[in-house]
Amino acid sequence: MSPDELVYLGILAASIPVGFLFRYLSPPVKQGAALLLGLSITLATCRIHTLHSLLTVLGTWAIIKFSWRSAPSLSLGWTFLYLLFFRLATLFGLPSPTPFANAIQLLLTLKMVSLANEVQTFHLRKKEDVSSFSKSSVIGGLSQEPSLYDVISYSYCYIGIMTGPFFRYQTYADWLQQPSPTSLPGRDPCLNRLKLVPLYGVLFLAVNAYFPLGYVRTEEFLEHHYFFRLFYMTAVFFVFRMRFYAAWCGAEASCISAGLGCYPEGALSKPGGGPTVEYSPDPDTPVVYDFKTIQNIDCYNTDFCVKVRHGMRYWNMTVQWWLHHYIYPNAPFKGYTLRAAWTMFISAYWHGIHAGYYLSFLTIPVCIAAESALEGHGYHSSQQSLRLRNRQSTVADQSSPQFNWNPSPTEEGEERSSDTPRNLRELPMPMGLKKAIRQVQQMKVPVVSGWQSWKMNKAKALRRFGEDAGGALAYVTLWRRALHKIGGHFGGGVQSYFLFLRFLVVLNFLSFLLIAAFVLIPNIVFQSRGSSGNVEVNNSDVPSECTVYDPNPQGLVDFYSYFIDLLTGTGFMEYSYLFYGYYNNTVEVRDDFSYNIPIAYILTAAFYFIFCLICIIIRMGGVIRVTVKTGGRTVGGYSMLVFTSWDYGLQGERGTRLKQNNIRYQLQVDLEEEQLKLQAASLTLAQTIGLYSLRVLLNIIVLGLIGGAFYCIFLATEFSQRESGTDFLSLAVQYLPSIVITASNFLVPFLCDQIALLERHSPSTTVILALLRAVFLRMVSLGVLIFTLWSRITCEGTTDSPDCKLCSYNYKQYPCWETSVGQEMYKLAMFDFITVIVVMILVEFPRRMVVDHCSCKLAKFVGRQEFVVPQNVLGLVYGQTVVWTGALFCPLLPLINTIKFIIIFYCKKITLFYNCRPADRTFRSTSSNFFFLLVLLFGWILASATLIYSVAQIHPSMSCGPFRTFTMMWSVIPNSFSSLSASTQDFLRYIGSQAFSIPLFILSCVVLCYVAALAAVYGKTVSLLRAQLKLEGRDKQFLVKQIQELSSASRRREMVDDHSAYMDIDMDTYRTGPEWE
Amino acid sequence: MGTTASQLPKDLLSEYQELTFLTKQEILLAHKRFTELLAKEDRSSTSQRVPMEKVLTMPELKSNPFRKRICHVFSTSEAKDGSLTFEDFLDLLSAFSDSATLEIKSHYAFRIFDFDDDGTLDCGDLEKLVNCLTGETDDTRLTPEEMRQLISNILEESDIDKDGTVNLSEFQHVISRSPDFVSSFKIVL
Repeated sequence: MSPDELVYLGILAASIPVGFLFRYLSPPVKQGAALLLGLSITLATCRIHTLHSLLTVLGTWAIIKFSWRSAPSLSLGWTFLYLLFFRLATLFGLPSPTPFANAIQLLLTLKMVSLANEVQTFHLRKKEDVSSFSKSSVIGGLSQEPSLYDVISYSYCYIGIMTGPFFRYQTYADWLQQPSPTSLPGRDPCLNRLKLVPLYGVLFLAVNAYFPLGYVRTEEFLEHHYFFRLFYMTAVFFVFRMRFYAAWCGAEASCISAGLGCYPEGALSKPGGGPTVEYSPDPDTPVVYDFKTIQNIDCYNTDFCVKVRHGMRYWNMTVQWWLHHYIYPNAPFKGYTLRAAWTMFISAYWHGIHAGYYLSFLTIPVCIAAESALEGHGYHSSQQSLRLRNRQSTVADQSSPQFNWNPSPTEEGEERSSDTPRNLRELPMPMGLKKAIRQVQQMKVPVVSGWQSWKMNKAKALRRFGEDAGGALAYVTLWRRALHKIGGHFGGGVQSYFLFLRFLVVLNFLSFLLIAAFVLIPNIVFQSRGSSGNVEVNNSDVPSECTVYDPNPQGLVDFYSYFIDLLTGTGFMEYSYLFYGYYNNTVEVRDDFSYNIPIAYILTAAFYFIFCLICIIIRMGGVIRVTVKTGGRTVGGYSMLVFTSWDYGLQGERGTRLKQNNIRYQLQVDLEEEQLKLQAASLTLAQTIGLYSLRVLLNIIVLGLIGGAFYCIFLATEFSQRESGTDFLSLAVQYLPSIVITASNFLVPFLCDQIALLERHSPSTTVILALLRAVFLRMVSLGVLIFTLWSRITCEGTTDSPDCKLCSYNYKQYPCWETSVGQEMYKLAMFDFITVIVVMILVEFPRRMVVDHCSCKLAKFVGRQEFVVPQNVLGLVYGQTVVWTGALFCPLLPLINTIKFIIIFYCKKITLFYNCRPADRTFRSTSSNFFFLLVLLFGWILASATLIYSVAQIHPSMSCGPFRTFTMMWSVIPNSFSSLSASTQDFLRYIGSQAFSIPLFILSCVVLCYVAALAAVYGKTVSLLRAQLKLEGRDKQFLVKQIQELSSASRRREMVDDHSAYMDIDMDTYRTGPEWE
Repeated sequence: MGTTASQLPKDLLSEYQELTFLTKQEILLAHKRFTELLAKEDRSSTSQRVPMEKVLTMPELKSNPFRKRICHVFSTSEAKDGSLTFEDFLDLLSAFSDSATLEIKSHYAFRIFDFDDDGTLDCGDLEKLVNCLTGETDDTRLTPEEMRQLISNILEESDIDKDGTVNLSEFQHVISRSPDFVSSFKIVL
């Protein structure tokens, strides 16, 4: 510690015991002694520099005498200008002031400005009293204008002369006039304040010894790492804080010992300002005193508060009060942040002229502004509250000595409201009422602890962030506006198709990212590095014929065959990243990095399938949750239809009219259906038998049709696989399976629909039946195609047939069979896409043209086409299933599908708006959503069955692809499994063993039972509640009847009065007869 | 017109945000659309009423068969003329917004369907409601026989306490089982 610091400490330590002596002195003696002591300290430490302070005091006194009206601003200007002169004294050839002189000067500046303000208030109040005779609201104002002696003795009062705390002249005067100073508390609060000082002192000395401030200025310090330097700052700042804690606690103790700033607790004193309310001590109860007025620091909160704003509030509290009352309201700016910045600027100037002060002080307003922004409306509310405070301060400048940067009433009101908006929003009331309720709620300010308020604020900020993020996300969401528009014009059913399409696009894109990250990019990287060749099959027992695969096209390629290649995936497309055959079986092993492409390939495929499954399940869960919420027992369809079917988002006359037609049609059909049911119930036995036999017959016909379609697909696939060529005919042959599949999918459902009309099912059953048949046809026809391919590749499973004997697959026709399957799927996907486009251009547009511009009967009868949601969804599901089936063999298929679906989205949208009218019958969008996903899941199962079969059953091609050295694709997993560490192997074996799976199974059974029981209970509760509702209804009816009876007996009026409470509730509901008025 | 959006004071805006289900952008858009309906000289005041005829020219409401009922339900006008203040308009949009709860939506739906404002849906209300749904002209209406059958069916299903009318709780019971209601009871500017 420096000698200066020791002197400082000595004065502080001595002033504490001396303070107790002052309690025994009479007011004039006290004033004199304090002045004398203060002056002698000043003279002893500052010597000649005492003149600075004396000049400041005299100048201020002169200003006050000259004009009390403008004294506040003049004294502010005077003291601050003098401060500048004082700081720059060396420039004028004067000796440099000591640190003690600086400290005294600083506090004097505060005291003088405050004094000028107090005198002004005193005069204003005097005038007011004279003119109005009303009792002023000013609390504890001065009783007379201070004389020069008073001013000097206030300025040089020994208490806090160098360390603070700042106290107003009023506080000083009250101290002098204390009636019985010895009876005021002194020792206990003093010790209480001092008890932590030794700790601060020890911490200060200890940390200071390890992290001396001087080290920062050395060259060596600059050579340290940035983070060390940052850390060092923390330590230095800790030392700084400890020093001030100790010093200020000591200074406060010296005030307490003298009894300065001692007010009853009821006065609600503020640090610096003093009492805020009038207090009249109750003679019966003992008065409890506190020393809040001179409290300068709240050590605990300074260190542990959460916000910058609060940190400001607990540090150097008296000076903050001064700033807040004399600088902040008079700032030449309007905005809160600018005012705060101004205040901080003045504060920095007050502290000194070093640039560091400005730098550090001016970051505070920025921090506070950021903090307010984080809290959402904090900024705004403080602005508002400051406006209020300003109004207050113009009325009675000194009378609102309440200090905080964001006054608590508003803030707490805001916190309170953090849980109200939900409630208020949910009230079905007009805005005026809600506003009134809100005001009432805000007036009830609850008492919350700091922690609670922190938690509330946190929750509020989080919620606001969530809302903001949601809002931002809504902008990013794909096709938000387009979907909105579709929903508006065609209703929820059609919208659900497009939502489904969007889901598939996102799913495919994510899948592509997965594949790209783990298969595509590693492959490209390894190939571009050229470091790794393929590990070739070099076992002697593998025949060389099997490894022949030369897909590169020979010679010149003309544009025509280029086009054919693009459509069929042959030629230049074949040996590319598009297909399985191009990927190599590199195993990259470096010192700390190894990448096994075969494993990556198969695991990516597996994860791709699992990922898709999870996505579907999650989406299904969301849909089914809604369905379950609405309960197992459906409330009848009519009320549902009438009450909920109107789509308020519809715009435009056409949409409205169509929706009305739609609803009318549904109502009529439902009513008709009911009639039909009644008729069916009244059928004779012979008629029933006739109907059922008819249905059986028709079903057989349908099955025959579907079977025929399958056979055609089988034949077409066989044929197209056998033939090969490059001319246009061969393109048709190549596409034959796709053509046959598509054609059968157009034709057979159409025939089925016609047949279904004959079956005389109810209309809703008809639709579902038709759909199920279509799904079955679509999915299984794909299955037939794959089955045909497999049987050709594996020579119908007979490995000893001449084609397959050598390599255990048909190597002559399929040197790289995986690529061939991939090509097949690629063709299916392409053809599906082409069909959509062609149908749109060649069928849908012309149809609309004809219908719109031709007035003949036929055209009118055909009409614009409907947008049939289920069929369209089936198309999507089919496309997706193709992609899943082919994904293993054609890793880029998800990407192709993403692009394809995006184009389809726009095409369908265009055709929807230009060519379509809404369907007469729409599915309920929720139930249909679930159905779509179910079908999609069906497709997934089909595709994964294919995947598992090809991974685990067929010998991979020996001439190409990542698995050319393996006998099964799957065998790569066991191979690499053996290379894992023993403990990992054991762990995985355990997971796979019965010891693990059986308990898991049992556990899941138990959970399932629990959930099922829960669901059952809920169902029961619902029915109980229904019964209760019914009972209550009867009760009401009974009561109403009774009231009716009673009222008919002439005592009508009295009854109304007696039952007014009851009638208030149900007056509207139960107007039961004409005798009720 | 773009400048009108900023005329809403900040504190009012945040209050509206708290009291409605609307986001800031939606409130600002609503304000813009609302001031477009007002005559130029009235634009400064927030408590200005827009007559129902003017409100119904908005494309969002223009073709809605329930448009008049909607205005009447949300209007706080003393004269019961269906005129809306800006705050009424916000109430309307809030109830029809995406994030409004089922409860508040069903409450307002009930009041919209309650054509005679007596607190229950009786046969007369239901008939008017069905006519709104199917179209009011003679050739789009249901035949009297169909109407009778339909209303008796509705009452059979929903009138749990069998008092011949559907009250609010019964109505909400039906609505709560319709998953599509929240998404269809929606008007977005």
